[in-house]
Amino acid sequence: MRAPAHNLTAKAATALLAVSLLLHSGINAAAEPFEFNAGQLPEAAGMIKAMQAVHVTAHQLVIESKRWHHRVVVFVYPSKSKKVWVWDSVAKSREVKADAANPVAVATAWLRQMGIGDKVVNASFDDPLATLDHRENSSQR
Amino acid sequence: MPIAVAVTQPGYFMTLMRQLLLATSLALLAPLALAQPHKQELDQLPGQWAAHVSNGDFGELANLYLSDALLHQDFDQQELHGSKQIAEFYAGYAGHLPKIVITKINESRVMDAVGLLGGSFSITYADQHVVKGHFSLVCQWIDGKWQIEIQHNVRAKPE
Repeated sequence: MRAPAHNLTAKAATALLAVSLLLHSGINAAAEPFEFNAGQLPEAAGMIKAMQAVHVTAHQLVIESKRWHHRVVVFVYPSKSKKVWVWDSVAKSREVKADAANPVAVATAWLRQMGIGDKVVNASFDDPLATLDHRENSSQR
Repeated sequence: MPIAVAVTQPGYFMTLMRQLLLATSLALLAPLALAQPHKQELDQLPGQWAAHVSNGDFGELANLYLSDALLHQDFDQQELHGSKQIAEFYAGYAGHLPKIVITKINESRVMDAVGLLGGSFSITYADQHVVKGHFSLVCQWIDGKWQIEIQHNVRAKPE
């Protein structure tokens, strides 16, 4: 006869495993319908500034196809790792397998991950902090 | 106990497997918990925002934001600067407050003193029209609490 503690241990282990698997799989799950929001990403500048303050490398990435352009934030986390994440207003952050320093590779990997068939015509890192600094300077005057 | 004997005794084998499963689960969870301090408090922020707006607690609402916070709301072209202006915007609904429900959180990440949150909400206005959307929050851990630095709300794609 099995001790009651064994049943409890089994239930706890199963629950913990399920939770941990959910936490890990959720990162890559395509949970939301995708919608481009006219190339706007108002959180980009502040997000990048906040990340840089805690030593996380982050850039705004502008992606262009023949039909549209779109902005996302690319960041490497944990710092000094090779884990590259792409943040979008709707899809939130998704991990992509690409060289963080290569904007076209990151854009291509992200579109593939999002299930978007368009080919990347151009992709480049943009610096929204210049705009933010300008705003801050203006408000101080 | 020799392995050959262990695998022929289902009770022992199952116990061993369960213990292995537990150890694996704990090993998977421990780094997540350690790497993300104050995550629980971060996860509570969207619900607090929704409750303070819905209940008209504008003082409490203002306290959720940094004094130089930015709220950008695509669906009504609102771009509000600062906790005071944000609270005043919602106070403008006094008497016909919208009811906000957080329907999902699909991003919650703590990076040192920076928190990223994302999810979905449903706003029911006094005239009963409903806006479903997605929110993004960039938060800062300052003086022992999370405060919203940037909030970006976008309308969800129609189903």
